[in-house]
Amino acid sequence: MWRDLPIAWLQLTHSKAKFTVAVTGVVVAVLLMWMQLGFLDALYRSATSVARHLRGDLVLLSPNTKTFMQLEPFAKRHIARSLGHEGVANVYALYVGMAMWKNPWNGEKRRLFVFGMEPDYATFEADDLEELLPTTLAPDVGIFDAASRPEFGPVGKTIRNGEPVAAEINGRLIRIAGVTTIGAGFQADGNFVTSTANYLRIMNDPRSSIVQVGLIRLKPGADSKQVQRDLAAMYGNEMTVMTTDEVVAREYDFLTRTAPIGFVFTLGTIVGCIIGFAIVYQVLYTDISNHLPQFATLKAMGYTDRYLAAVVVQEALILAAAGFIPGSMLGMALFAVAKAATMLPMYVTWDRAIEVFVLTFTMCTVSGLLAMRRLRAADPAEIF
Amino acid sequence: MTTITDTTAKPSTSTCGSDGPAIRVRGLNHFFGDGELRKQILFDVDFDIAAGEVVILTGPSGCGKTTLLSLVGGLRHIMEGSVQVLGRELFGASREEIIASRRQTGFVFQLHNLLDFLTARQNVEMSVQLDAAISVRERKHRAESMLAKVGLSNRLDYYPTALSGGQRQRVSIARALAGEPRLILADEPTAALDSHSGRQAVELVQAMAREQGCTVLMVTHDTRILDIADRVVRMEDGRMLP
Repeated sequence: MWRDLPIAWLQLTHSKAKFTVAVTGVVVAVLLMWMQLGFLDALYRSATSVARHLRGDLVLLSPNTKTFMQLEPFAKRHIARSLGHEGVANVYALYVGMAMWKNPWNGEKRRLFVFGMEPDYATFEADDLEELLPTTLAPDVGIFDAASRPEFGPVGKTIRNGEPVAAEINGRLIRIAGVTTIGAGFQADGNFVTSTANYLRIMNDPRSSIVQVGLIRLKPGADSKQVQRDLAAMYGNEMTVMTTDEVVAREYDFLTRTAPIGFVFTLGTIVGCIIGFAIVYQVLYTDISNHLPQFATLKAMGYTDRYLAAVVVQEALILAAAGFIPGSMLGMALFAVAKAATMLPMYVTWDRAIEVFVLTFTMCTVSGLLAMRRLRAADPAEIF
Repeated sequence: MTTITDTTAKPSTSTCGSDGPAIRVRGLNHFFGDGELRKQILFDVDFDIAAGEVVILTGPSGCGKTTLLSLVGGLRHIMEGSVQVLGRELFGASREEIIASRRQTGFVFQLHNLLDFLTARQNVEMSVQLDAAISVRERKHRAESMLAKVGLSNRLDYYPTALSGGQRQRVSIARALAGEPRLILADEPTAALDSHSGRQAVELVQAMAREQGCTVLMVTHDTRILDIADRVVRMEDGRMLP
């Protein structure tokens, strides 16, 4: 078979125009898939930045909290109860709320997330956060997320130039001591981190007893699953105890399954596949139709149906390969453009590359298999 | 009737001279359509063609000669009767046997049916390629020498669109013969050609056939070429005339 004339390649490339059309169809599909999956990934990464970078072994959440994007409050005293377990080394509280930011450059108001924690321990990882946190010991000082949307003002740029920035948050003038990188979420597209004390003043809520997240660090060598089980038994219905991995998994599930945004992008990916499939099918079907007498002649010569079917499938695979590479390269180029425009963390991962590859080849193969049926019309009895 | 079933899938490279006729047809009936629209095309056709004979089958349009040719070629399912080709019974034959029979047969059509995306040389190679035992170099060589025999050595790498009608027909003859078939079936090979090219084409088939010792059955209306045959058989209204 390998020594045979490469019929599939020769037929496909004989007409440059036809080949270009077909490959373009695949390129468009590949590009659409990349953009859809890329945006989905980027939104996910951005919106779940904090949840994915919690510094701790176990996480305490209200039983009413279904997703990190909608944190329900619980009584702070529950966190300290964990200290009773011998496997627990330390516990921390993370306050999460929303406040109104006033852009110091143009006076526009915009909502952002506010995170409050004790300045001696960063409850989640973010660029430079650990180093900058002690600055929040001072009253009315905080750290701004430079990955917030540009509408908040050029805070990062100004700070990096060495100039001071002060903004009103909930009407309270706050000095920005530095910037970190977190990422825009859905309910609010800006973030701000400060000490518990500053947080409570900003939120105008002296009830330091209400908190949103508890973090538990275990002693070295402790069995996290066992501790989780013990604590879950202790808390019963009052609190949810999850490992940090479980928190991340649940966020991913929520985003892709429950949140409308997951559905929208999945649909977009499917549309991309359908477009590619339709174009490839059309080209292959038409090609076969235009060559029916010739294929019938091949059958008369003694070529098997299987041989001809294999030619069609080979053509589909050639198109898949020819479209995947340029489509992916274009996709990566567009990622860079989108990233600059939206501030979203758009980048290529191996997982996604494999996924797009599999989708592309499947789409083309199915297309080929369906187009193959047209070969039945190549009847050697009719060529006489 | 004993049936000698030849199960090899490759075209035989030996010249003809086997005992028994190359083609033997007995009691062949054929119908088109179903139910009330059913029409009988062939009525009790009986004939023999000896190995190495060149036979022309002629008759008015619609007399069934092309249908008969397609049945002998294994291109159409046989409904009733016996058709033995090169010792192989085609009635009720399996898919593999039909394909084996097709590979031993060279077809020349009215329309050349060359693949437009292959050069003359590649088109001819397509029939040689069916024999898996032939190396790539040998395959190319055979294609070239066959095209040389039909006078097209200077057109080896031309695409069909760059060839004249007569030249295309010659390529298709080369293709039919390159696989060294034992039987050649031709249907109106001159119909799409001018008289000179047409004459050339059939003389070529006759010469090649004599050289390889093959049997030729040619269907034609063209009365000018009847002289190339050993024997002329006539059909009318689905029956073979005695």
